[in-house]
Amino acid sequence: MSAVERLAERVSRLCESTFAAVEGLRGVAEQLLLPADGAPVRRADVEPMAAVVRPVLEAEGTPLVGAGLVLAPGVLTDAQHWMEWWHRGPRGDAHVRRLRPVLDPAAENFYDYTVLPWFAIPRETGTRHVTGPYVDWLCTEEYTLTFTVPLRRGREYLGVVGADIVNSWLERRLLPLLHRVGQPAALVNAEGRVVVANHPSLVSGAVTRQADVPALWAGREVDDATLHPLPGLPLGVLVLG
Amino acid sequence: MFAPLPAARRADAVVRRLSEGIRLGLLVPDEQLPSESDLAESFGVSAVTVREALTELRGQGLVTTRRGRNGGSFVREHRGGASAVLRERLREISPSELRDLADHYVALSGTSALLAADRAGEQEITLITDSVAALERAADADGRRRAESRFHIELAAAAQSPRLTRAVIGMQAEVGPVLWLSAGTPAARADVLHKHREILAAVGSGDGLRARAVATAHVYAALAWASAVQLTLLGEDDEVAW
Repeated sequence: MSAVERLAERVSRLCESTFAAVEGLRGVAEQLLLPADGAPVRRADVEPMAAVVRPVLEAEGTPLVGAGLVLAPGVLTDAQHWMEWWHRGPRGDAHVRRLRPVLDPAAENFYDYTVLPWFAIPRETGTRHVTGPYVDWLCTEEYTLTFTVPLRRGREYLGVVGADIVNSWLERRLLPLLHRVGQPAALVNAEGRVVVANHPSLVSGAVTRQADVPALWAGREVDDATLHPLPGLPLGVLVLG
Repeated sequence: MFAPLPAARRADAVVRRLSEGIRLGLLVPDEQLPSESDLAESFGVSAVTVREALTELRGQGLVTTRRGRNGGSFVREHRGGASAVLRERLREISPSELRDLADHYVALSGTSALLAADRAGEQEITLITDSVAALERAADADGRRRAESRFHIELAAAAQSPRLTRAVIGMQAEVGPVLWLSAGTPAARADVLHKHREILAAVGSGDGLRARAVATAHVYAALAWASAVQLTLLGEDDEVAW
């Protein structure tokens, strides 16, 4: 197995283990949102999410720093917008607290999550998504990757369950493998933003200009650069030279 | 609004955060505040500290406590608003402290603009554009202050720097009531909006040096307006005995 293949496999495994935790939340969220008797769902009905989310975030050694359920407008009968989202405190504080954004659309500082990619992309594509890395200033206050999975009732979009990890957690785990790739290489997202790289010219967080990454994602050939897309993930390993 | 507070003088910090929230209209009359334990959790302080702060706010006439099943702390009707907050803050700091505040803020905001021009993606440009639109729509001084804060936070986030972003957020409580409330005239407000559009255009076209230059000019224009108000206020005061 080549160094790039080993790296790709490791990224996939780390991402799949995060999505596995999110899938666990999805099972519970679906039970709460789709009661067998078809009764209308209220805020109080989704409160039990806390009992499943908190242990996930409190687990010893977990990379997850935030997780929960975020609902599409109109899913609940007594709140237009709603989320049950929990997060660990900033910078290593293990205390888990609830996120309390302003969810009243009439309020000036309304937190309109419906336009944000971690919510909007699963709604548009119908499939899971990895958003970032981005500065999540509302919740983790860190450079963050957010993993979300859509919830549906038939064709109706109900929202997402998701989890956050901090970018540096992934960086530390990938650098030894990246180092073994002989050429400059980086894990990049669909817009070509560098998650982590083995060369100073590929700046973490910057959109790489050394290669036309969108063209590579579209399957076109580019001089002196190759992209190895990861199956089922909007991430790929970019190798230069 | 409900983000955790630093350790120093926690009750005072809770009082300040809530009283400004109330006077700036973030918390509206008759609105129920979160429970003591929820406030303690949100601010990252003890319940005792929250109780101390609520006692002080009751003393200032900003909140009232109702007992019973639907009891709790509620925001009271109050007078003053944005202009009172601006004046009060400008009286608390000296001209050199005000200038220093702007200098510190320029270091953050200018660098955010510089880096955002290089690093912003489509999503970040959309969020910055939204905050400019919010400023344009804002109906009062306080709405403008919020949109202004949001613009700077989005700019720092687009720079992909959590440290810059946290620092910019951390300074809003200080700079917001002073710099972002000072553009009092229609001409000043038009200038602010124009500067936002220029910064956005420079970030969108990847011109970092221009973005930084306009961001710097924007902060110092706000400083000049705040200074003018401050010098009038302090000049009207009686001589300080020494």
